[in-house]
Amino acid sequence: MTENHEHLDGNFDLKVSDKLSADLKGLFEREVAIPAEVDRAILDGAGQRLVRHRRRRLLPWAIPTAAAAVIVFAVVLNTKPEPAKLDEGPSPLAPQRKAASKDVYSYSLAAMVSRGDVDLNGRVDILDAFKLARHIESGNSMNWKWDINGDGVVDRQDVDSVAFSAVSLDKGVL
Amino acid sequence: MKKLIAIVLISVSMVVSVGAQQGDWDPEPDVENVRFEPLHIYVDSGDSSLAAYQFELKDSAGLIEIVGVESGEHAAFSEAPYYDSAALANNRIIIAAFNTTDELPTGRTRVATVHLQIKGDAEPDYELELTIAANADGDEIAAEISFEKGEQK
Amino acid sequence: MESDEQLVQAANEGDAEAFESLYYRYRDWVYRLAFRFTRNREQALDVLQETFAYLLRKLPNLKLTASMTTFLYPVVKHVSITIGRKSRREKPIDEGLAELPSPAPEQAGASRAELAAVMGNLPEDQREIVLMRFVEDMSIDEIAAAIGIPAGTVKSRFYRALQTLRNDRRTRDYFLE
Repeated sequence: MTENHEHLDGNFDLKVSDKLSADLKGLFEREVAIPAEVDRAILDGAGQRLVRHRRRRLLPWAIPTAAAAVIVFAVVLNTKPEPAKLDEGPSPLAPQRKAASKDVYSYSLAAMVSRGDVDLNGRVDILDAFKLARHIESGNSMNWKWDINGDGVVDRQDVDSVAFSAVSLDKGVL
Repeated sequence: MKKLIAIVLISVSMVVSVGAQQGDWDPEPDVENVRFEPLHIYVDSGDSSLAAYQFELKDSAGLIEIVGVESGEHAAFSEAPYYDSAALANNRIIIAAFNTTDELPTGRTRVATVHLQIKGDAEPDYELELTIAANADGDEIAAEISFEKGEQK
Repeated sequence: MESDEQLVQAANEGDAEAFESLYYRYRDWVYRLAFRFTRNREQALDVLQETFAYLLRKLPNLKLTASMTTFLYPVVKHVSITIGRKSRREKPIDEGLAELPSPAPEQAGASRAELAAVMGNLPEDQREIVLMRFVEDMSIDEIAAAIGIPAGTVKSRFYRALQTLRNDRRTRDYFLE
């Protein structure tokens, strides 16, 4: 049998046969059969969400504007955000660095609201959740942009999503 | 309304090294001089009613681990507040809650209790910042935040 | 082949194909892990959808600070627990293990059925770590990060579980003296 040494703090050797891992995998690794419709449902949802954002980028190109506005959009859309490295600080797309980033996708109103910034003050805090909750309770008309969790309805779960974003230690992520 | 006090506690196992059978290898890291302490958080909104709050608590000395969060004393904040579960077993937490009813506290009220595990004998260096305090209209109001230690709330 | 970090970056920038690549790369892993938690195929498929919906909601600010499996593990676990509670069905682990196919003809040493029995008697926290180590091939540090406990605690539980397996005559032969 082949050997596999499990070192624990370097002071203790447990010589475990590879057969243990193989048998455990045989027991607990289920044969995977994912229905194609499940794949489609997940990827279609992703496609809509990601394509939608991509359209927001492209829309300015399609709108006839004054020469100065066209130049601005050209600069904006041709400037790509710096790739976020694993050991860097907050992503350059974070709203807190609005002044530095030129990514239209990040700073469109819809994007802000979709992240839970209901009152559009540039940050997500408990007041966003509070205001969304009050609006839901008032029974007034809903804006699809308040469907924070993307489940097709604006309800208490969206309020909770915003509230949890407000208290997230990783701020800026919803 | 049924008063719901949600206490989330994470049990911290402290195993004293048994020794001989395992030789010098300890089954679990020794944790010495650990004590548990509740920290009661108060917000004083003066004459204004308090409908929403958000605060951040951290320990600059790195001595604490947050092991649980308890709701406040007033019925408006009697349900478990919002917080990031990643804060548990960490030394920094953001806590927030709101209530959309008309029954809201005024003056000084305990909004939450944070249960802490403190390592060593030194005192933690708490930093407590009130980020949001708002009234029933959703308008931010002037308020003060403070904390008290000990079993008495 | 693009790395996970490259795919995540591309997905953050709105690349649907990058998200699709991530999906197919981790779909089976997520499903198998979800099934292990839920013991129910339909629930595991729900967990699969919820997990990738969660990943999608993280965009465009998804940031990988660890391996993808370390990032996904607590998500799958918590979603599995939530969905399990909603369905109000709990399958005892023995029932779940009983669904497994019969083990192959015994070789010298422990059969898989006996291994399953001994594993079923382990405390939940120890069993989870053994499975993460031997089935998911996660390192001690990755397990610690995924579960959110110190590496020392992981080692301790892992050691105790291996001791149990070694001391049980049914699984003793997996260990080399």
